[in-house]
Amino acid sequence: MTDRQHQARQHLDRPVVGADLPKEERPGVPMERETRPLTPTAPERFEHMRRRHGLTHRAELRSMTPVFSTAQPLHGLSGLLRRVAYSTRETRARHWMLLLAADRVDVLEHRVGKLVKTAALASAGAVAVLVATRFFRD
Amino acid sequence: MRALSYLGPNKLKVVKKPDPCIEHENDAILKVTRAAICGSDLHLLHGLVPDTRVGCTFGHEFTGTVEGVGPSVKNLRRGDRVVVPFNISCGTCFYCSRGLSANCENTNPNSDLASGVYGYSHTTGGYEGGQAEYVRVPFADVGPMKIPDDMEEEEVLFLSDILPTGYQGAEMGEIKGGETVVVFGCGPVGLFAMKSAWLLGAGRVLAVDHVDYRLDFARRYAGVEAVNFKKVPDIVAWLKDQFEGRGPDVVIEAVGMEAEGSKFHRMLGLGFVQAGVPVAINWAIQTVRKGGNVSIIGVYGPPWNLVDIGTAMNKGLTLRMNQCNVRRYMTHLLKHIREGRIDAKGIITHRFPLESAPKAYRMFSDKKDGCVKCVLMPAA
Repeated sequence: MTDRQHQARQHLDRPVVGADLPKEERPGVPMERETRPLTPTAPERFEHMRRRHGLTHRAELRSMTPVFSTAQPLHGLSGLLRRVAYSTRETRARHWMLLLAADRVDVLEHRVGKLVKTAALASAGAVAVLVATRFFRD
Repeated sequence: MRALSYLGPNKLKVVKKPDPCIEHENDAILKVTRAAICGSDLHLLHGLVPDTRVGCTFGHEFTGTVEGVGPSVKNLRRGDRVVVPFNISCGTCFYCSRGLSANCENTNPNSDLASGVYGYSHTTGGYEGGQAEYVRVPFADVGPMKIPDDMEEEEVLFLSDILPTGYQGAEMGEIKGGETVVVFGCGPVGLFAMKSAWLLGAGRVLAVDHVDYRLDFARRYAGVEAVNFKKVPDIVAWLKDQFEGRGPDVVIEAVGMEAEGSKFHRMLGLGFVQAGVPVAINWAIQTVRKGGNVSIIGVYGPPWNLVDIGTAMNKGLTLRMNQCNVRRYMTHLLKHIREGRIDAKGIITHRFPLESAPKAYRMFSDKKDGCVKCVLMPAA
């Protein structure tokens, strides 16, 4: 070992280097172990969540997995693109390209929606000011 | 509740969202106490992960206090402090029962690539992440691990992802004692891979990056030699020279899809012609000695990359990779933290309240102010 290597290892406590050298100290060896539940408390049987509107699953699955998220259901044009993407197998490049395109459309939809909301609020404000001005003038 | 919300590439905002609720009998709801920003969150932020929807909340490294549990949850009670693996796993399917919880087939309806993951796009199930005040935790009897009463959240926070990921990276390198190891990437995962390489008995560990402060941090924190690849003419040749002209026995790739080092690959990768920038994988394949092991823990997206597989085949390499099966490492690594072999908390350089999350992301992404790891404190 060179001086540099020796120096590099100096600050480490002795028990650190090689503490997990024996294979039985390595939780991931072998990577695929004999079959048993992942944790002693893992549920043997579990209910499936109820299906909701606007969810997606890959083309190979007949239905949703037992557990899923309902955070951002499909909507608008981006939702349409995503629905088409999920009807295509994920081994096809088209699947991923459509999803990436839908992401950009989603951002655009969000920005346009925000703009419309701001414009509507501004118009409503302007109308309110006009009405108030006329009312007080009378 | 307040939660970080994605508004498009490089745009984040903390907004009000409805509180999560119990949607399945084995769910739990956590009040988040700490949530870290992971290097892989930056791929989401930069719009590189397919099906990242506007309004989603990131965050797959978090600790929390149990606020409520579903009727079938036996392992947790209200008030328990827990650390949660980033994989959402059922615990009993074909893969989980073989220890491969990262490949669980019951939690991700959208893709066969991986299990469900908190806050990591709809490609991994579309679950909301932990960079929020509250989070829903499915299969609460399987993933979460209680935090020992005498330990703080920050001491165990990284058991949720980066520490087990770094350890699994070193373990997949099949270090048997005395091997030479090169780690590409001095980010948090790379740092833990270096520490783990020593634990597994490496004889020499050398780190590669291009950010000087991170190289210095690696020298101090992990006791490794370190080289800036931008300061040597050809990093592959330089590394081979360091190991008797043959190259190291093991190379761990802890960089992922936004690697520096090749303008050509960056142009193709960031222009979506290939899924990310595979420079670090190619350097790993070219650097390692013939018959050596390459362990890949950097994140890449589907569907393809220009990877130098011909060189790997001709050199007789073993390539190993996976998302980390976090649950099976937690107890073992907790022991190392308790016994002082790993100072996991020692990599935290910045702490922010949840409101400052966009600022934290900017700092972490731009590698400013010596930033190695940012932690958010939603309750602050």
